[in-house]
Amino acid sequence: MRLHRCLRRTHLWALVCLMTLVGIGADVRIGRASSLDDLIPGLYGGSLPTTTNPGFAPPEGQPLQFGSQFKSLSGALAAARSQAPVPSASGAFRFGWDSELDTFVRSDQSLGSMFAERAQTLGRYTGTFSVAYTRVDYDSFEGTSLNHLTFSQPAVSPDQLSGLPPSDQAKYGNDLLRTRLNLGLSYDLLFLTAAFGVTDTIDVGMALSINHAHMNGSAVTTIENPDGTPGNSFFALNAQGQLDAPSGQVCAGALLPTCASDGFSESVWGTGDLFLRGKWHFYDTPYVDLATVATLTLPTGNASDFLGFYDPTFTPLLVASKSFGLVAPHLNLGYSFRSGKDVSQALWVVGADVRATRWLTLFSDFLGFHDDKRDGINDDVYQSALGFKVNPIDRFVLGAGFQFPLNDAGIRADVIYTTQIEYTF
Amino acid sequence: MLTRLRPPRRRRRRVGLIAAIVASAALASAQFADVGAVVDAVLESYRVALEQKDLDQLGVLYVNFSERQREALQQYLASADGLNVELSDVRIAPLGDGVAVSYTRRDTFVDRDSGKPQRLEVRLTKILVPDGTQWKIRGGS
Repeated sequence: MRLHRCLRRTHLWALVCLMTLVGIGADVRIGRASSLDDLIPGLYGGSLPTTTNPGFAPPEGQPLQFGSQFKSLSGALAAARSQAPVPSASGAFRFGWDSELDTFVRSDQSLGSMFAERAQTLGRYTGTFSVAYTRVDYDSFEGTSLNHLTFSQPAVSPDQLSGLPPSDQAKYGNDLLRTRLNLGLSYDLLFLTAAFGVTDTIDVGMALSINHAHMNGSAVTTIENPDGTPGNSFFALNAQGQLDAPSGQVCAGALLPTCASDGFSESVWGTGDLFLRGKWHFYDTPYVDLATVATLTLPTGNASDFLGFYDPTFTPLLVASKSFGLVAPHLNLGYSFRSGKDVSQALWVVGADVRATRWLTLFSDFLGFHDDKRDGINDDVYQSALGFKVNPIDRFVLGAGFQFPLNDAGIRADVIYTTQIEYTF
Repeated sequence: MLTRLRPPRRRRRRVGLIAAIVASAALASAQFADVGAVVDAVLESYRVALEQKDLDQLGVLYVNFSERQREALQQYLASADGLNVELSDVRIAPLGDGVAVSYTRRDTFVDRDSGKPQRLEVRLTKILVPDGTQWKIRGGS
């Protein structure tokens, strides 16, 4: 027994050391030297030079305004990126006192949900280690397909216009810079999670993700009238006949170009944030069991590359759950305290899991995330989730979960896939 | 000062009354001490029977031991390898023809299916009553 306990502790410390070592690893960027959050604002170098005079290049281009809409992208991505899988403990069971039978009675517990905490803890000296993979391929931004994002702004600045004769002001004043952006953004998140029951009612744990983020985009910007017909101003060219901007090129075949394009494709590998988690199962009643969970994240992931938060975050969570026969409803209520750059969020999960058989648990959840910063982007995110967990052999649990958007807010994927394998020791 | 004024006869009667009360209390205390010893013996038999997984002996300790209860106990004992039962913080109070016994029961064992060590604790109150020549468990929670 002593040897067994010693081995358990050795496992735990080995995992902690491994995760800490991985946690301080650097991220690897494949592609350009820009960080991912600079890519959209950096299209055309951030501005496009437009002119009304072929022989004159303005000293400064038109600052492109659409980049600002993506400034809070890192915070918007947090909903998916911060979902470290919840430990389930294979073959979970509990002993409860039955007054009628005057003895303890053993009952098997469900394997729980992948996205919601339940009040039940692992139990003293019980540990779990899990590896989970999540794939997120984003499809829309505030309800618009990422393949067809369109942004418009005046093509000629007020300063430029004010220097023109009134007839030219009327001619060029309606010109618009219309940018059509085909954006791709995806995540591959590999979560390594370890949890350990210090006492029967207290668990501690840590999780670290190894993330791969890929972002590509192609932008075509045209100078148009509001009705879509070609505009009267055009893009300024440099002495070499190329677009007078840090990046991008004019569309082929135009002497007085009203069309320019630019693009990027970049991938980043790196560690995400380190999640430190504590859980206390503090109260039981016949109708509800209560626990509290506190999660501290340390910013080991590069926030500029959307791999983690900019600053440490702290998320306290109140957990209520109870098993009623085969069905176990659960409710999580919490608040993620984050810095201004990361955007604090209130969050909740409500759902239930059903022990379909001794080895199979089905679960369904609704998730809500509410931004503290009410800026009209990513304010309220609602997701639904379905999934299952199976305990096919011994102490292994395999699981799969699927999340679907229930509204359009923020940057969203039609489906988020998660798979998990967990070992209890 | 007041006692000195009382007549000697009345004083003797009072002393006798006090002596009777003290004697009665001492007798009750002695009887209760006996009951305490009996309760200790019953609890010890109960503890040993659990550790030895002796269902027949456990059955003998109950006034009524249903088949359902037997099955449940059998299942529990079968799942508990190396069962160690500890009864502590025993409190006894007279209740009708028997006594109410409160105690903390602490079971430690290894769950057979999972191999995980378990430590269960529960505070219980049982009613023990004389049943023929023995004291037995009649009910409780």
